[in-house]
Amino acid sequence: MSQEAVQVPISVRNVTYTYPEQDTSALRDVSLEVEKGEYLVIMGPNGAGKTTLCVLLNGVIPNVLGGKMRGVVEVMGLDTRRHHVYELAQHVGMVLQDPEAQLFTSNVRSEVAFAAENLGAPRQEMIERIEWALEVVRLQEFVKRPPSQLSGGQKQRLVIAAGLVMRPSVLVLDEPTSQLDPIGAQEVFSVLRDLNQDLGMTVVISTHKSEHAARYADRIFMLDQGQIVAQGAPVEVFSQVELLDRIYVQVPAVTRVEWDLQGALGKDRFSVLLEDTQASLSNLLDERGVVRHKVDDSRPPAPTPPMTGEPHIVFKDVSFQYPGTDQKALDGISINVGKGEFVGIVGQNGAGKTTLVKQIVGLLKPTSGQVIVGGKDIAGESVEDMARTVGLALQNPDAQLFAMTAAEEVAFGSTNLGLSQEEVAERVNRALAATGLEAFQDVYPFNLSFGDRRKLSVAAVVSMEPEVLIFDEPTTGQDFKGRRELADIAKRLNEMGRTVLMVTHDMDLIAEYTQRLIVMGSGKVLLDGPTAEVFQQVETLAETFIAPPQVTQLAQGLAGYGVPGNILIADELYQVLKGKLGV
Amino acid sequence: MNALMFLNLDTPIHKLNPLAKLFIVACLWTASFASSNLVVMLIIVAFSLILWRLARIPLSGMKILLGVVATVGIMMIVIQGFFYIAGQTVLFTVFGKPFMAEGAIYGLTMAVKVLSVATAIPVLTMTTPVSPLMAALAALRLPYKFIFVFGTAMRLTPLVQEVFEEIRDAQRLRGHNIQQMNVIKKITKGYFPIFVPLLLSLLRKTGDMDVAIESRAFGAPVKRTYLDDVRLKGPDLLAMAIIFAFSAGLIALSIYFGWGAGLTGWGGPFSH
Repeated sequence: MSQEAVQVPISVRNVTYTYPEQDTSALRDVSLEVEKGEYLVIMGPNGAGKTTLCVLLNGVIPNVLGGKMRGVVEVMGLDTRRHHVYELAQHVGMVLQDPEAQLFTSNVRSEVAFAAENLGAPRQEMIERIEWALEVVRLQEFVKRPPSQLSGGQKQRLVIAAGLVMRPSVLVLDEPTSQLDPIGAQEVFSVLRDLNQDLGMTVVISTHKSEHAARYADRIFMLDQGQIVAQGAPVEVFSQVELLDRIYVQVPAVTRVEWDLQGALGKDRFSVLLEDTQASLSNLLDERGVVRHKVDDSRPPAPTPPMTGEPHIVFKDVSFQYPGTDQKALDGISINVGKGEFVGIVGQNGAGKTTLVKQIVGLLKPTSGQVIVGGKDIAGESVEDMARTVGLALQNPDAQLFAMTAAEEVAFGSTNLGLSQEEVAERVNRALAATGLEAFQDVYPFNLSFGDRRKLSVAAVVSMEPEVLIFDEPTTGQDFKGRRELADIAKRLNEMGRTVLMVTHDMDLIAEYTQRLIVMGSGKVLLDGPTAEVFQQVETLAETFIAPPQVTQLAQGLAGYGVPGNILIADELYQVLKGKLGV
Repeated sequence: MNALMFLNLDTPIHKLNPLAKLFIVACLWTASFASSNLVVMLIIVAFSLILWRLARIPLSGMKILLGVVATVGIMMIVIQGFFYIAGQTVLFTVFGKPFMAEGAIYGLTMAVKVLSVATAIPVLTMTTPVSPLMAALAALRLPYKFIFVFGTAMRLTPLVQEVFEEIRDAQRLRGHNIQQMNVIKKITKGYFPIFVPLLLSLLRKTGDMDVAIESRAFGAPVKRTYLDDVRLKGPDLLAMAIIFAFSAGLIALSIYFGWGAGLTGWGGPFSH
């Protein structure tokens, strides 16, 4: 069979796969066919088998990772068990989650050249292919730049180009945007859209981002515990709200609102796009005779920070510049966080969020200005001293776990504080209880799931019983369930009186959990005020590529019918609409 | 300063073919190994520093290098001063044991030899991106697997540093203050919480890297080609001719001067 004649680029038939030295199968009886030119999205909670399915599609399983595989996978008619990865790689390009681990040369041009060199492409042809690949991902200006000096979005686009140079007909991407900020994710998605729509390339992508899947997917495959539990067009898959709730996959907020109102809407398949839901709800409101008023489109007044309780963390005109750079990472920051507040911090990478929180624990010291925690200027305090009052849970749990059991891991911090054994044991119990990990206290940390390891790294900080807790990007690499569990822990600790700061790109979490929101951009505070008011500053948010949560956008779109524009969660909007529709 | 880290600049040294730069380093090393004369070796160090200047390599890097060489040098001078067999000139005695001038000079010469070898390295590594360097090594017909391991090691160095710093910060945030520990505590308790996560993180990253490399057709059974053109051009040949003549002159000079600081009269058994 000639490869041009193959209309099904990838065919997976009844595949069951088990990793080496594992008892449970990572995939169970999975069958799917990827059609030519299709945009296929794989979804499912962490541990569902998404990554396994992705690396199955270019023959890395079983050729590189080994394990036991039953069933057949064909790439352009080639059985992956009978052909080497280098042969299959020419048909299927692969992009993994962590851009750092996929870049291994010294500049953009040589990175893209790597695969073509491996395949022995003649030099002139190689140059043409590199130019084409870099043009597709819009990185032509960066040919000489070392990959380490690119942003996250640029790095992932470079990885895409590095695969494109082999001119594959299918591109497989495993959660390519999970470590990127909103701009980076947008850059990657726009390149994928061009590849699919303009060049007709088949795209297979695994992601947790429901809104992305809803907008771009031709078909969605929903995995849970290694099996396909739903498949079809986004409308068909996302309409199965009960199933998705059961397996903890996020349903687009607009779909949930329609599902809540299904009786009134009289349908059992729900829209998945904001504009469709807005149109169908507008029609319904019109039908029910709800009067539409002209919307006051003047810009709402800038929010002001709430005045709550005694000051706990105070920044007085703080500026900070990294050595060897000519730009300020923080530029005249003045904020005042009260005791017991729950504050969200958002902004693009490079906006200064992490630099800001590192000042609070003393990992960085201001170039000018003052940071005051608990009434005390912390200029002379060491990180180790600050750890008694401020707990910072960093993004990557695996950068700190080393003990043989979860309980030992949690005890490490409080032991370092010089507490008695009894006191340490009590604190360990309290921290494990606060994070819901009591049952795992004797388990080896690396035998826990990624979500539980993340909770363990939080417990390790909680056991030191600091008055301030900072969560730095709790959503990285987490599925919907993991995100909510961590945010729930933060909420519980806040209710116990702790001041909580949460740095994240996830606007749904911000909307649901925080009382106050600080938006940063280019080292400055752009907005600071009650979360609902900040999300009404649509224009300022757009300047820093932040959009309010989808449900807030829907509410703002229905403002003409008297729906308040400061609604933050789907249930709240449902209640308002229920009242208006009289259902 | 990391002597392996590439400096992304546009200087005459950066523009030279990596093969020419490999030749420069090889010539300087040969001259250094062939010579035992202190003055000749100081000339090699001075020449390397001129090349540093041309390549705009910050001289602040010398501080670290000098620090290391000074420590090794003092040890060598002390050891050789007391134990050098062919010593004749006694400078002073300690507990009846004579300290010989010839031994001290021999130790100093060895230390400067280390310095002359070390100063030549950045002329290649800090001015040449990894991929043309790999292409140059391939042109020398070294096996590609070896070249790739070399290239990956160069790339891993900053990655290890980055991961190490992340882990160190994470443990400091848990009150782990390694700087306040004594040597024994550092060994028994201090390093463990840093090196275990470092090892595990690197294992995971290299596992991902393995999948990424395979997915980009690494190991395909075809003759590998290279994007970088490593054919030598006029300026490369000129630079190579100059360095060859210079090194040959240095070797002749060192034969003429003899070992140690022959010029100053502190000659040894083989001096003129």
